[in-house]
Amino acid sequence: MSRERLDGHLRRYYGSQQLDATTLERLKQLAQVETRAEVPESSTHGSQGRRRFASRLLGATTAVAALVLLTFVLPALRSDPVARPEALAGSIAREIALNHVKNLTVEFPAEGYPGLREQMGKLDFSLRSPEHTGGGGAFRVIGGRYCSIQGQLAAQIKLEDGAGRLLTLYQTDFSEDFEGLSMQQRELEGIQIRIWREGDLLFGLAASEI
Amino acid sequence: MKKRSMQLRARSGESEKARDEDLDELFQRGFRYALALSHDPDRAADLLQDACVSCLRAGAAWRTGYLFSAIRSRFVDQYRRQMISVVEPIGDPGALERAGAAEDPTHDELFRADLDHLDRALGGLRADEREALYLSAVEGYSAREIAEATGRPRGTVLSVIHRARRKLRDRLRDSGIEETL
Repeated sequence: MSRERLDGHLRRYYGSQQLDATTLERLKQLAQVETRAEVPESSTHGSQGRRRFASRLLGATTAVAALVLLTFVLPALRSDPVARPEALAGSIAREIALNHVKNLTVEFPAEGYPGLREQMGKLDFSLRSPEHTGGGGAFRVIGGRYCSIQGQLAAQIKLEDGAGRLLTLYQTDFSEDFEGLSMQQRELEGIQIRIWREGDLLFGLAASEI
Repeated sequence: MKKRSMQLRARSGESEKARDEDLDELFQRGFRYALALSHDPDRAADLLQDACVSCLRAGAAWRTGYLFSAIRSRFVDQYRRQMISVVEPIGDPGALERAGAAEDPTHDELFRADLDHLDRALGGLRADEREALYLSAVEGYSAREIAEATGRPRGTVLSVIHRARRKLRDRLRDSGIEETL
């Protein structure tokens, strides 16, 4: 068999392999959670020299932008009692949305919060059922796993509502880092995010539709 | 075959539909590359998903190069032992059945049967051999580009590709299906 013929069969074989539609949709949703500026394509239009120049220009621009951010913007956000919680809420919402669309399997299957508490002993807070989910109905606990919110250990709990929809609930200790954060309701690329405080815990709830 | 390097069309310049199609193609290619490495559809989907999350966290643009690199990195992390030391056996090539050859098979059945044979033959190659073959035959990478992507000398890459083709031909010949392919 010639090399061309063999390669043709390989192309045909791999061309017939498809990622399933559900996973594909989930990945596309994931890709759209955060919108980033795309770097202009230089590899197909420019010479090596132009590519290097564009790369250096991009690097220099990024460095200047980072300097401005560190020098002016971040201190301003820290000192602004309104802007900082707003930025923090946005960051948490993105983190929650990202974790939600990853749809990771549960590590600790459980039918309720007592079962989860028993299995997730590394948490430095006590897991509990939230009072203000905003969904109006009861949720069935499927299980949980460890995760982090803003670098802080958290619990990620998979829930199912009466209509069979999967939701992801997050709980973590409401540390001083979250001070000033108020109840938030946001939408990111079709994912409904709700963030709120109950006593000493910070809660987050994500669902593709609530 | 020309190498298909791609980057998503920017949101501002193209329609959402075009971007959606780009994402489709990017993820399907990522899946096939992960499949070439793992030869397991479930593992390939997991590798792709992990790589996407990694790209997102790193703030990398949605480009083939970044995605392939993240997939490879995850694969090497997860399957390092197998990749280095295990030569996956093909089993008894004579046991390969000529599915669809029984009675009056349709074109689709023959097509499927051929792909099944190729699938088994590919399963007998090592991960690095499948990877090199995939990048060369399907993605159209040159030996130099594969060497850069995989961190190997160009000569080694050429040798791996040559060996992979030979093994694939042998396995197909042994199973008696070369002519039908």
